[in-house]
Amino acid sequence: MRSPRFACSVAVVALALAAPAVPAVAADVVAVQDGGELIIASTNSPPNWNPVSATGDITTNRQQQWPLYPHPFLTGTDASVTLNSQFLTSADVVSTDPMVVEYVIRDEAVWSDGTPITVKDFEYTQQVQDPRACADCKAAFTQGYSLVSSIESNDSGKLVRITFATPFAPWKTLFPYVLPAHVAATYGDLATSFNVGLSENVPTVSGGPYRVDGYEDGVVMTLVKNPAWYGNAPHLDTIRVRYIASIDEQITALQNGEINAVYGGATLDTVEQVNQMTGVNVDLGPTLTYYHFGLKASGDVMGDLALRQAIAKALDIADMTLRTVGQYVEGAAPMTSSAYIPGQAEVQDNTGATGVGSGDIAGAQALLEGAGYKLVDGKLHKPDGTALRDIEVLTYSIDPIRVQLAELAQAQLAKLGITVVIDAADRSRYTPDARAGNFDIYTTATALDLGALSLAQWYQTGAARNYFGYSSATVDKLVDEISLTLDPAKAVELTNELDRALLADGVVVPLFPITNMAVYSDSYANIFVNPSKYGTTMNVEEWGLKAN
Amino acid sequence: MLALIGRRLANSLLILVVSTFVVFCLVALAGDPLGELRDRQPPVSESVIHAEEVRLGLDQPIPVRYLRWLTGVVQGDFGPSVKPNQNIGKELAPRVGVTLRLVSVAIVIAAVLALVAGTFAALYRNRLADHVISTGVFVLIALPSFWLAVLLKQAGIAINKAAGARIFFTVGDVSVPAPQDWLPLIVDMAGHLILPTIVLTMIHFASWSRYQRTAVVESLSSDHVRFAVLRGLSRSRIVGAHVVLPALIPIVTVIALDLPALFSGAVITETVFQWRGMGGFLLESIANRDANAVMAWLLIAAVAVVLFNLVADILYAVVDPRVRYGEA
Repeated sequence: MRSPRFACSVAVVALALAAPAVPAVAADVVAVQDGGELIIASTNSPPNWNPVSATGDITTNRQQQWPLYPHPFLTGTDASVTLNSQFLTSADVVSTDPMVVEYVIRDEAVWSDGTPITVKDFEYTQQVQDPRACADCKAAFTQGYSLVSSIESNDSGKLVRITFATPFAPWKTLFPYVLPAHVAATYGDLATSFNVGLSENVPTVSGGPYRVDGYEDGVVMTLVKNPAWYGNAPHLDTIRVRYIASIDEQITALQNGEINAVYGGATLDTVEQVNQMTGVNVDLGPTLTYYHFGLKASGDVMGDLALRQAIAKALDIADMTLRTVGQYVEGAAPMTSSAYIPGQAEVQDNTGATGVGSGDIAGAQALLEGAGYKLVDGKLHKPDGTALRDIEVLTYSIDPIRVQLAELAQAQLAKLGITVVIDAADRSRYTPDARAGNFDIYTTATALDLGALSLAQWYQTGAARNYFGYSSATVDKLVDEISLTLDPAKAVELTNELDRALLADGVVVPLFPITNMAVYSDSYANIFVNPSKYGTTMNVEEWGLKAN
Repeated sequence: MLALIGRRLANSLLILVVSTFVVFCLVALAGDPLGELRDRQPPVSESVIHAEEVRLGLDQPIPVRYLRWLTGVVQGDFGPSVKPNQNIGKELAPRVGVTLRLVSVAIVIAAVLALVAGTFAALYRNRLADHVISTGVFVLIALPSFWLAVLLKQAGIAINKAAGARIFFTVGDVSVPAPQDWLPLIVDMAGHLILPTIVLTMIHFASWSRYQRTAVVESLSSDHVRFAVLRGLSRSRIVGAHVVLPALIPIVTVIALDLPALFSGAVITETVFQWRGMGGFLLESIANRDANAVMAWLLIAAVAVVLFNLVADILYAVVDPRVRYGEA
């Protein structure tokens, strides 16, 4: 069932298609006045100024720098991806063999120094993320860019025609930040400009609605309107990003009027704190990142498919959702898929279809008995008659929700006669232990911004995050097929098939999306939780003081 | 005296080298500074991670990294930070300034209050004044400083709301944007200083006043005080010249030993009030497993320890004639 907010989003999308200059990001945009200033807190100052570099590509930096760059696509509050009609006239796949994508840049689109935004900027952005063109560029993400065989244009440079050597289905994820080639040229060659010039220097030009007016390291970044901005006029004159490392201190500062807005992950404590405040709006919303259990698919115990399936069936996703995020988010929805979050148009009830996460203890016991397991004095015994060893759940001690999830799993699996030992690792050990495969069940989270690619990084044979020893010819084939499928409907169908294959193999138990919150003084409007990894500034030009 | 200072400095240098090596090893073994980078979704390429390892020297054994760091420090280079845009040396200077601004006022107020309250409590031992002061002090000692800070912040917000003006501030050392004129700027900075100063003052006043009370009580029962009473000296002269002055030796020691810790960062106060001082720098560096940054902090802290120990030695000689006579 879709919420009114999603229905409203559909209406906004429709409006956006009718009027190309209106971005379809926010669902409930209200009238605001021009002028004024807003101070929003951020936990981190930019580790560097290049949002697509390996060290610069972190959540807070992506969000802070979003207002400074042109972006081909926008993610709506309902997680739908739409063309950024403020920047592009169109962006389409015009040929499938070979795959050719054409972006048409609006004639009005210029950098803040008046230089037109053209194919050169796309070329530069592609080259620095393509190891073939720049092996020394420290880019965060190279997939897709390394498949480009040529970039062509027309005389004006406003047409960007990109040909791919092999199809790249998630092509809309490319170029989230188009970098200014003419500025990069002043810093030197590709690697120097990317790793040093654009990384170490505060951006001097902007291709977005705001530009940097001042920066005091670790204290504040001041953004003012970009006079050359070609899209919808932003409302606020000034936006200051104030760096306050702890969200608790951010909320106190908001309470005292020292800042106007807080954006970040919601917890029971922070939500209770902000709910007690007066004069603020609180917007809670799911993100594209969701918690899940990853089950090891190899080794002495977890290599047994029947055991994994029984564990996956016995775990109760709905109960875990209710006892964790459900404590502070009204109507928090459990995941029904590991590929899509609840509310997305593409989501299907794949956990229901496979019985994963149903908390069906009787069903799980039947699976185990069928495979020769026996319950002896309340303890599960393997088919060879020996007692099943303790199952180790690796979780992250810094994240109270992950610890709680491990505890709930411990209680739920005890009903099967399985003893769960919780290994709550700190930051220094959590990922290294996962990489070393020192777990049976891994409590973690996945960002779905890249669609099926997000799953491939975990479950494809030999993938970088495949800590599970998992390998499936079916899954590998589906991943390959999805990456080549340019028909969106077919891609959704295949992705759901991939999801069901993973769930049936008992390697993943999706739980619920991570919730973010936007808390801001009620004199402001149009600040929303954006589910994407780029955050709340995606509709920064719509932010403003409420109209009288 | 100069020979004593020279010997102390030589010992301190040796201690410094050993301690820096131990701390360097501990930080280097504490975890992977590139752990966050390795954990990215989608994964960052191995070539980029290797390039970062080379930049930070993580591809070298720890002793080589330490020697490289030591050589760099001698030449004024603290080495690369895990945060690529962070120049550790340039980052430290303003941080020391912020911490000094935060703790200087608090130390002076706390020391004066401790001397007065401790002396007063001792002079009126086991009487109402002593009970009131001691109870108050024990309550302050028992209060975790972060909790005291949070309480004060809430109180400050309540007062602001009641007054309809922002008198107290809860984050930072100055407003954003900072006032342009100097008078509003000073008022603004003072407003930011009030709450953290109260926290730091209360914490240190409480413990220091107990030392002062004990020292004065001991001084009161000493032979030279009895002799002064028998000589018929006035109470004010006995208290001022024969009780309080000798009782300063322990409190000078305690304050001198506490000062390096304070100057190297009032970690909790800086964190709760979000001051970008040395304490915040240390916490951030540890969180990032940034060995070079932690070492830079350690150097500052170690120099402060050496310096203030020397100051304490000199002050002994000033306040205690026995030290001067013993040397003679």
